[in-house]
Amino acid sequence: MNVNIQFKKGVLELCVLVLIGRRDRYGYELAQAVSRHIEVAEGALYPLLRRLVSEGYCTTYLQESTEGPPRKYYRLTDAGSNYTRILTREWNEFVHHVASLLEEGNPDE
Amino acid sequence: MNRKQFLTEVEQRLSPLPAEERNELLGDLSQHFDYGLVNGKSEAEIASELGNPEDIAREALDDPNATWNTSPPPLLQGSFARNLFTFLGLLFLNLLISIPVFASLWAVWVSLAAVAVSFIVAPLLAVADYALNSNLYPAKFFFSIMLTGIGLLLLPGVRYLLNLLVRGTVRYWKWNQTTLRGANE
Repeated sequence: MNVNIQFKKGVLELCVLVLIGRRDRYGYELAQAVSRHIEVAEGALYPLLRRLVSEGYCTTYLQESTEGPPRKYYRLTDAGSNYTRILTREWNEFVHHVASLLEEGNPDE
Repeated sequence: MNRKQFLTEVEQRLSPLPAEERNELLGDLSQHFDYGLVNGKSEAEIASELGNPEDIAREALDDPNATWNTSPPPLLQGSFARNLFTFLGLLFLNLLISIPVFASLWAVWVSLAAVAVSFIVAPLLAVADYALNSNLYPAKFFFSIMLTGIGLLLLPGVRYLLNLLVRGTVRYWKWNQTTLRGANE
């Protein structure tokens, strides 16, 4: 179980970056979009978003909404899209390697 | 857990963060509750989707090993009025209930101890009785020796009760002090 949580935490960053990369989003919307695919503790999202902003991968702006208070939207910066590309490539390689290891069976034996 | 409890739990653990960052995160979480409520979820549901407040705080502090002592937050600055009421409250509690209760408990113990001691020395009394009245009743001696046995059996109980009472009294005394000090600080 715990391992699973660690996996998800690592993937969360990539997922969030990709989602913001497609279009600007606000926190609750992001949480909904992520948890549609993977079951995560949505609370981890907010510290992560704050870190992405402080590392310069995202910026925020407020936008009025028809219901409730103005929403804080997150937008990907250029550094952010570069970072997303690197992370995506690393992720794909990683998954590829692990998948081929799992499919290899036990040739050593 | 409702919204207020959840946010308080997070806030308590974020004290190492600068106020600005802390308020930003709490604001984000609070808005998350707003949107969840608009979408027809209950506060408890939203809180459980957000996960464990401790994990969020750990994440925010960027310290996976952070631990907190779970004692309740310290009392807020006591006002004069509250100090006064604490003092008066303790005074009445002590005068009307605690002191009579402790006094009677101690009185019970003293009489028990007295019974045990007099049982144990019963043979001496029997000897004294014989010396004074010079009437020898063997039954009296046997009875007094039996009483010594009962007295000896009572002793551990008496000691146990003494321990209990001393500890109880000391704890109650300390509780009084901390209550008063808590109100003064």
